[in-house]
Amino acid sequence: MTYHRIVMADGWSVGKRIALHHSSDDGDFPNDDVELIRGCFMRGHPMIAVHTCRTDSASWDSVVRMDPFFKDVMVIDTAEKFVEILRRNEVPGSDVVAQYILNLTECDMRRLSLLLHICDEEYILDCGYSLFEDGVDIVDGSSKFKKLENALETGYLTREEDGRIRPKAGRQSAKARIITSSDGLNRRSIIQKVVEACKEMTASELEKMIRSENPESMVSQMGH
Amino acid sequence: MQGNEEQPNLKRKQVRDVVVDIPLYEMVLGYRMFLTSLDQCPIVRFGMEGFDVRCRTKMPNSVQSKTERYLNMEHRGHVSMNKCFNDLFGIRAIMDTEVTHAEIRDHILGTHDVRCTDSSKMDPRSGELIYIATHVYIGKRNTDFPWELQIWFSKDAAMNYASHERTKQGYTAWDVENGDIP
Repeated sequence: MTYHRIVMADGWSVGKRIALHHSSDDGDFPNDDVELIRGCFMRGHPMIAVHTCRTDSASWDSVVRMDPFFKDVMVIDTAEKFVEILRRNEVPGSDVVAQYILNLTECDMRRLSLLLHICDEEYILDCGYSLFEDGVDIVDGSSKFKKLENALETGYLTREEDGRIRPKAGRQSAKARIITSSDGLNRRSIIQKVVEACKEMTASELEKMIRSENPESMVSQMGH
Repeated sequence: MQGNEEQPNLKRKQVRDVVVDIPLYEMVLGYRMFLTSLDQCPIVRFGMEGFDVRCRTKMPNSVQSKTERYLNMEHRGHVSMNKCFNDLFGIRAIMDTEVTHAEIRDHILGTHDVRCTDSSKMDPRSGELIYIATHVYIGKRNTDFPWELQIWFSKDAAMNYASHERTKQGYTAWDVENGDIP
């Protein structure tokens, strides 16, 4: 029998769960890879899971045959490549945060952009980093979210005839992607607070609040 | 397992608490992360012909999915944390045996201070069994996250895998759904 150690993670950027697979005749595995992965993530936890099992051969196929849980998993050759993919999970894009916001409140593009901007400002105020991988840049009321634009082009998000933006039906992953990012629980908490505080506000009211030039937290100003 | 004095009472704390209490959820994820550093091979080595043993730490996405499921249940997350987060570390033993699950449970409960349940499930429409297993929860202190031991019989393995696959589809299917993400 052959022992297998499988380090698993969500590879959001490659669209699959990923695995780092080692096999061994005696069940002794060097811990270098796991330590390398853990050591690479100073902020937050590297979101990995570890499985150990035995099959009748050293092949990955034998693992998949043993347990269908491993079906459709992408096997990664080296710990370095595995880390590279995991690193892309660290900071969510504006498309992911937009999807999460749209699950909480209805928005057209203008309102969505403004909420994204407020979320970003609140997060920067809290910890000094941008909430997004593709940070917000508001110039004269227009916003730039490269990933959000891509999401609209590829149908990940859709624009209705009345202007409302909708996430693709049945998608549950935005919340998980945010939570499993670096400092994910704090990111989610701030987004939730902003949406809760702003849920009754129109786009014009949100814009007015953003332009008030008050350096304090906008959510705090509203008593939340 | 591994409790200490700083850990909250997981029987008193409820699943809904982790939604608003970030340090509490951090503790769950931090403990889960600690588990990934354990050498699982000494447990897997208990395996032999006709007795397969394997281990895993729970996927973070699965922890999130289970939390959501509890929050959406009738009780809305008003359930002890140690009932929900009872399988962050899981061991599965699949065996060829002539004894029954009832006999196994009687033996375990007679010899060990653990919680041991018939975790078999029926299809609510057909009334047929779709999952047959004994689950043992190791770790009695209220500050400990229990570890889960699943005991399956080889003859039920295919059916149990199919049942697990259906249950877990919610969080493993994202890769198929989101394959087109730019």
